[in-house]
Amino acid sequence: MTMDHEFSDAMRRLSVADDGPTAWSRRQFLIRAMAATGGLTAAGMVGRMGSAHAQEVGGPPAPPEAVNPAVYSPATPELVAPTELLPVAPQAAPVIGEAGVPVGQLLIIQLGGGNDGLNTLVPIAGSLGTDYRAYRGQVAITNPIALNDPLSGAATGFGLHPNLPYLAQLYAQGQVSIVRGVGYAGSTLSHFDTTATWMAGTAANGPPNTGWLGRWLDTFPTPGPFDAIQIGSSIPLHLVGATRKASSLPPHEPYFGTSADASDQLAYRQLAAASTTPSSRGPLADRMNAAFAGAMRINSTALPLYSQPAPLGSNDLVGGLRLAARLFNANLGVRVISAGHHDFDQHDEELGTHGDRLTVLNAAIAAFFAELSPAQASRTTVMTFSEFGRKPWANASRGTDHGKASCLFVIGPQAAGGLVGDHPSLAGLGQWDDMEATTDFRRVYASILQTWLGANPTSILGGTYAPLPILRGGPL
Amino acid sequence: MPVSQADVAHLLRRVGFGATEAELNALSPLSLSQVYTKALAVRDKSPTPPSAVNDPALGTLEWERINAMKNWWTDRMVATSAIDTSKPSPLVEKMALFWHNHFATSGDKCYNGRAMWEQNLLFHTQGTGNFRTLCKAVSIGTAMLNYLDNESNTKWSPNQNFGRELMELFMLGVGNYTESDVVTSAAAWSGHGVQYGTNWNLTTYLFRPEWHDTQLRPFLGKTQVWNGPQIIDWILDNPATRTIAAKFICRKLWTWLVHPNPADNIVNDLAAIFISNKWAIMPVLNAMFRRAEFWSATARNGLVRTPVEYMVAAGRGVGVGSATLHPHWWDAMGQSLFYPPNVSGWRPNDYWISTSAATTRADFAENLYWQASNPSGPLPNLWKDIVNDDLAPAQRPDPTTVVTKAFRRMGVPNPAPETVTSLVAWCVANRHQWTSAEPWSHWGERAHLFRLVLTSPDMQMA
Repeated sequence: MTMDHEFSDAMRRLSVADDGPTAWSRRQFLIRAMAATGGLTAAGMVGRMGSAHAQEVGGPPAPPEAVNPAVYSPATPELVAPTELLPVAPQAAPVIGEAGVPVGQLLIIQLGGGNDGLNTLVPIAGSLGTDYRAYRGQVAITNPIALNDPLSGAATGFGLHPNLPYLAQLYAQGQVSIVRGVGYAGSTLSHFDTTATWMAGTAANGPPNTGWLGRWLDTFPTPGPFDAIQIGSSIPLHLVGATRKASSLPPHEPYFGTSADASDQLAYRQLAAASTTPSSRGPLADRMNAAFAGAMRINSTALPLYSQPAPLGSNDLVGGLRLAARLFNANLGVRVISAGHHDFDQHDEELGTHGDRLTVLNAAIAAFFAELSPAQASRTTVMTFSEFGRKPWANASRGTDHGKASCLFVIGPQAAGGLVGDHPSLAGLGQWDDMEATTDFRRVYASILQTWLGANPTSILGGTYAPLPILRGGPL
Repeated sequence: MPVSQADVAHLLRRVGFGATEAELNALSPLSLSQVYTKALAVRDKSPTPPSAVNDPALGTLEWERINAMKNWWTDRMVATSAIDTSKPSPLVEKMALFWHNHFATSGDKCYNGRAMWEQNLLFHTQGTGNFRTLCKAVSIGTAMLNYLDNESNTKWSPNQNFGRELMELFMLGVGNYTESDVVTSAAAWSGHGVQYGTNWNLTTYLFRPEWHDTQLRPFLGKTQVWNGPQIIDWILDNPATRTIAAKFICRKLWTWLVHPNPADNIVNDLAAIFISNKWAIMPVLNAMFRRAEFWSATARNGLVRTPVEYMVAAGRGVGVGSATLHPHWWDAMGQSLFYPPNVSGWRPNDYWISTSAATTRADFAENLYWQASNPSGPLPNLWKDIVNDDLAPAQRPDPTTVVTKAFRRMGVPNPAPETVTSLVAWCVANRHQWTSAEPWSHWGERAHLFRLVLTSPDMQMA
């Protein structure tokens, strides 16, 4: 039997989860505690806990404070004065990778919980459309945005969920490749197993200890703290390598290392200074010290991006992707940004909740491209993934249960555009049957690694996977 | 001959979760042999579960049961004592944690609080007991049967997941068996499954003979009709594999509790003890912590605290439990108890060194100070006795004393000289304490001292 439960809980494990729980719990502490003492508003406190004098309980809210470069001395090598950072920096040429080709920027969005591919890319025409509407009944999407081939203009026989108008518009411009029937043979239908398999992205058997992008990070000759960033407080498996893992930034303003309060600054500088002296506790202690200094550096460097040119606006995927665009714009050398968008595990009353999740996804991708500077756009590709799709048949609760194949998006000016891979057949499927995958997900990774990231897909994936025509070429 | 406080602290960090000030004071006057006896004492191996585990009102809200278990285990680890026999034993809790990581089973897939509890109870009752007994009991626990899919392993449709991992991760290590051995192991375990009760969250172990494979099959040099537990017995009895198994476990114990990459002679010695004591775990632990290498600089500087060890040490130093620590911080730090990332468990040691880990540890430290010391918190005057700012400026302790006291409170009687110098420099830069009658700011200087201690490398080291 399959044990289902909230995916938000599930994700927390594999990756050490997402931003949500910690950020919100922290906020809830503050709200609860401050309510008890009749003091500050939660909003005034979050991100400013280190601000010494604002902490006097019952005192006035802490105003947002500008960073004082005089206190934040640029002479302290471990700390970068945030004022040195331009929100949008000019970039003359793309980064050239080891293979001598330009290396693109990748934004990867995890749709956690198992996104319903059939209600995302909706079959309209022919027996596929007929079967889909029959199997789904009340859970069928009846008003999809019909997709025409971006080149020929001919009807594709598929449509996008009506809550994805921005993606439909990009599709019409030839900037969205949609991989159909993506998955892998032998899926166990467990969130845990399948998410691990997708994140590991390897041909090998055995417990997944590293992820596909993490193993790519391992190959960097000169690692930097901004190579890969997770929007959230912890690093999912796909960004964990054997020797390296991504850094992280919270979806709200980070505060460790960022408070401008003079007393905080003294403490930060003490920590940073300590990291320059080898500890008699040995090299592990030194590395730990360096990690604290590095964390302050990342947090303080990125801090202005949370408010300039405007506040992020939200803590959800929309705010997270705005931050992602600003990180790319700032030319910090970021190659990969990863963000999670969860709660796709819609076993009951799917239409409303699934639609809401897609509305946020659509808005977030729109916000991302609106924020991304034109100079960066042709060097940036967005991809989504989800651990599995849903059963073709709706269940008795007007939801859908765990399935196998789903679809994913590859988006950006360098996307090839169009539908890629065959859609699995729906003919003759029974209530508990699955759509089997027609395209192995590692073929997507192979294409991204080879064409976009200038990497060797065979060594990173541990096997050879035929690339897919999802990109028209590398970054420009 | 008394034992240095630094040595007491090192031993208690590895045997358990770090020393309290009371333990440092009580143990250091004793002889080393007396310290060992107290530190390695085993008791309270059959704890009663938190009430949520068997609370029918929770229905199938299994995550609530598991959350309650998380809080319960946090409180036990925080409460461990090497000097107060009414408290849980450090070694029992440390070994339960070790085996939870070794036989990693996640509540994510085994979404069943009672099954997870039964497994955790085994880690307590047999974690310092016998490896053969433990291994067999875990294998037929419904948590493992579910987690590694053995519940669906039948003679018609073998599922090798458990049969393989038993050898690869639990007993031998990769490369010490063939694919044919995996086939036999899976066949041997076929039919060992789960009986679901009136509710899906009520599970018991059930062997279904009609699902069980009864063919003659070869396994590690012996051909017979195999039944699951016989696989464990033969690995441990077979002269060709028992030493491999013993070394596999002893190497892991040393790697997690002493330092990575132990020399061959250490592993060989411990493995011989393991075998000659018929897989009893305590003789190995007794030998391990008494070896000269345990006291080497390589060992003392060889391990970074895992998030669980870090949070529990902080709770012990401050004197607060799960209500204040909020174990969900582990999720952000990357080590959520009862939810290991996969069947191979968490990775040890320097895996935990990263910028994101540093940020969450710093955030946790700050949140802990705030939680514990706000006026309605459990310890509103946290560390006032360390800074002594109620005294006249001239009578206040000097910066070195303040910093040293603060580290001692957190179970570190011997902070590195560079750490002390650094924090003293910070105290001097703050000046208030020694030049002004003004008390330290509760939310400013005192909070910062707390955070600087908790983010120091000395607090990150196990």
